[in-house]
Amino acid sequence: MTPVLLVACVMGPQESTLVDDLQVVAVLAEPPEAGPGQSIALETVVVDTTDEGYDLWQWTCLGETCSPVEDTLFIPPTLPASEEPIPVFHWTLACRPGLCEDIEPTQDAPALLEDLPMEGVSLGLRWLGISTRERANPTIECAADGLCQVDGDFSEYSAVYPYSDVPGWETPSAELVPGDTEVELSWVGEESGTAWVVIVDGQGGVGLWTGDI
Amino acid sequence: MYSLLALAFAADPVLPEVVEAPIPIWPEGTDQTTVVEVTLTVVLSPQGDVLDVRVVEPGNPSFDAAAVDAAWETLFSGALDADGNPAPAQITYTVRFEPGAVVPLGADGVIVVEAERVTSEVVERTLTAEEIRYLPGTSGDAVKVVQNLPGVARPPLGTGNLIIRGTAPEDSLTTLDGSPIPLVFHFGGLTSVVPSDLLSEVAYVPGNASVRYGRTLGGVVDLRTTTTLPEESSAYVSVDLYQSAFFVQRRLSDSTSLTVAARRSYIDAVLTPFLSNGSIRIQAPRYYDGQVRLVHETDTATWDVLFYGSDDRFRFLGIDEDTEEDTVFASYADRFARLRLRRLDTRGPWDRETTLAVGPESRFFEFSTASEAIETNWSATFRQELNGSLTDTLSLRSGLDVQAGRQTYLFYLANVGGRDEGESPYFAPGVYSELTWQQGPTTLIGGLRGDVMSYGGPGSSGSVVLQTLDPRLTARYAVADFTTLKASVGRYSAFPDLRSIDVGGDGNPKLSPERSLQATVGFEQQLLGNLRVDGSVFVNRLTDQVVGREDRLRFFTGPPPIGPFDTDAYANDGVGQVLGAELLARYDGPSSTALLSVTVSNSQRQDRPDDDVELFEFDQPLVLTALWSQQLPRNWRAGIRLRYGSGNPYTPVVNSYLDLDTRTWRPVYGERSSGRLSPFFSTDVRIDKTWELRRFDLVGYLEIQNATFAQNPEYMAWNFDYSEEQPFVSSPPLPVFGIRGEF
Repeated sequence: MTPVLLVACVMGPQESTLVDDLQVVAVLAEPPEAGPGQSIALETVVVDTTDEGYDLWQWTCLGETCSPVEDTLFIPPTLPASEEPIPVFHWTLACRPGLCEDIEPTQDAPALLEDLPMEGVSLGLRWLGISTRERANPTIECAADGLCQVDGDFSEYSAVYPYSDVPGWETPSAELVPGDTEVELSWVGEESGTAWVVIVDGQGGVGLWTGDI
Repeated sequence: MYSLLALAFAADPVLPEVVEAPIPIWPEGTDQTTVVEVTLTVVLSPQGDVLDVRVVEPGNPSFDAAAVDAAWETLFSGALDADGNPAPAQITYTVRFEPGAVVPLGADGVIVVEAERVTSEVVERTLTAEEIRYLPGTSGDAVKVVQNLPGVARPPLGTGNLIIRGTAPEDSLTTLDGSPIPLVFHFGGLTSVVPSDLLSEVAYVPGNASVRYGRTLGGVVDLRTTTTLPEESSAYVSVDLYQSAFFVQRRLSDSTSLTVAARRSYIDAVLTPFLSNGSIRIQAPRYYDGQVRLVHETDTATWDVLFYGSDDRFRFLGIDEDTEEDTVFASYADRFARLRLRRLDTRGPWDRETTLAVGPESRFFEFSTASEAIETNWSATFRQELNGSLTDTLSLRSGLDVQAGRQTYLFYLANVGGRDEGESPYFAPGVYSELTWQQGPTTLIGGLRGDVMSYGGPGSSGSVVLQTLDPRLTARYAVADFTTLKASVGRYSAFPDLRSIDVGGDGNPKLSPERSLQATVGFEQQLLGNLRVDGSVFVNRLTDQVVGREDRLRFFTGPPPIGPFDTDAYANDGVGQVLGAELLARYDGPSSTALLSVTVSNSQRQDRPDDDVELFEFDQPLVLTALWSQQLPRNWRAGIRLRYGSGNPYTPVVNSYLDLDTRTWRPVYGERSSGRLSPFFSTDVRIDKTWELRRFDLVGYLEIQNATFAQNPEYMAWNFDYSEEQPFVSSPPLPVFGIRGEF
């Protein structure tokens, strides 16, 4: 076990923070949970560093029923109202033109990838909630030096994840604890580029900051 | 384990006599002022030819070699049994080297004739404590040395896991004189918790074990302590790269001896200053173990009191930014203690062995401040076995094997949530009986074992009672003096663990025992006097295997569990089949030992009825080990071990997706077990040197494992998004140097 831990101590730009192809980086939902008869506004953030263009499919699955969705998710009023969230799976599939054909909404979305290449294809999964709770997304604002101001309920496991289109983030993630108002991410890149910093609160809330770095 | 038939001869047999014995040569360059005794065992053919010579009580390496060389040159007359027929024989005697004289072989010898070794096992391979100490590649470890023998696949990362005949490590049993050991290895494989010096031999039964052993579906490794008082007091102190140890064995009186031994690793003392960095302090792995043993002989029995225990621990500490106090990032501890009372009575017509062992054991893992895993077990084991002859041809072995105690478990992972905990007393009585019929060249052994497992009672959430009845049959036929054919078939059972059956958690109280039907057919052949070959083909049909809930947090040894995981509820849905053949060729020369073991096998599993049949995760179609150890002049000894093994199967990842809430990449697996790691190859070397000093002997050794630094993939890993395979390769060669002072 010790050798593995030693490897983890090696510092430098983290490969996992670099977006150098086509990637679904985030799906923002406002509000993160909504009750029956209400709607959730969706914003999908896809990064394409090659400018080759892509096709996009999005669908949600409630139980075994899956249906396409675009920028708004309507919650059927016939669903039971509950404080305990009912999960809705939101899938986003981005493909280079011509790579993905005849995509039908399915709850077993990973099975679609079995016959698709890894390059030029990106699949992302978000869990949305149907509930009568009033919840807010966490927020994040970062400066070019990597110092970020954060706000939200961090009582569950919460963290910040930086990404960029040029190598440079030395911090793959930073954990947040209740009371945190800022977090510092280490940037050691030599080029400038675009950064996306995602904040998650472990309760279904997601926030995003985008800017130059 | 040798039969006592020799004592039951109707008339006095004619014992072998020394016809012509050369005078052993005093070893060159050795101290000629001391007295040295070497005790040998010599195996003779019915015609008196020397077949095998072994050192039973060594003097020191040079004298041992001189005595052994002389034994091979000695001419003996043949032995006759009570019926006047030529019979194989085994003689034991001492060679005494004293200033100005060498007493010839046999002059002070005690000669006994013993019948052929009779064992209940169709395949049982034993290694003596002396062999364990010098064989290269396992650092003198009593359990790891078994990995050299046929039927054992190579475990990843050099752990001590025993993957025997295509079964999982947890399916095999490691015992101390027949009773299970709570923890076999420090940290999963660094070294076994029972030091080799406490043992007389290690017995390895790869399959078709006798009814003595139950609650297991795989092989058995039995560590056996001596049952006699030591001839004289002895002691040693040893120091190597990992640990220090001492061992003191004193003869307190004619009938009593006391042994005290202990070990302490100091990897932590060496590594902790280097690993600690500012606010993070790492307490590197450290372990203790200790043993105290008192043996007392009376007119009727031998009493053996043994206390042994072990304590493993490592911790990652940091400073809490708010309180500025020490906080634990991660911590692991594994410890047990056992008090064992054993009574051996071999003086009457029936051998009687009674063992009672009690003590606590616990495992603990803490991650951050919220996640933890704890398992505890307060257990008692009781074994009593009777063994004796009913008639000239019929003998009986019967025994009681009881385990009882109280188990608790708690698993909680903060990120995932959900507390998985439970506790229950358990009571597991077992009875067995075995009848052996031996007539001329034929031996038939029929046995029956019954076990019951009862979970539940005060403090638990329900009760479950399971029972098994396992018949077993073994046959041996001596085709000629040195050729034996053998076969065995039997049923084996194991009970589900508490966590999988616990009605209070998400276990399944309807689980039934796991089953195995095993069969072995083989031969044993003595060739050219000191070359022995034995081979077997075997099949193991596994049914009712407990599968499911592979996503649960649990303790494991070796590489991290790799998917895809079966996350459905526990069920007895798993089946499997293992087919294989194994061959062991062993040469024991006057001053050398060589061993070649080959195993070919195929091990398959089907977890659920609708699943495809897939390869077992440690399926290794070919495993080959060649080992040689040579005594050299001037008290040098050198050894080399070559190992080749097929790589383990793994399930390749064909794509991946991003979980946008947890920000982790999830693999999309391809066909299960359709990938296979590259083959493993390793060269291990060992050199020993003994210096005879005025008051003690000083032994130094150097052992290098994977001396050629072969880049062996240990298990498959991937980069962060599974787009690249990055197999974890074996560590670079690490020379281990040690010294040992023997008094």
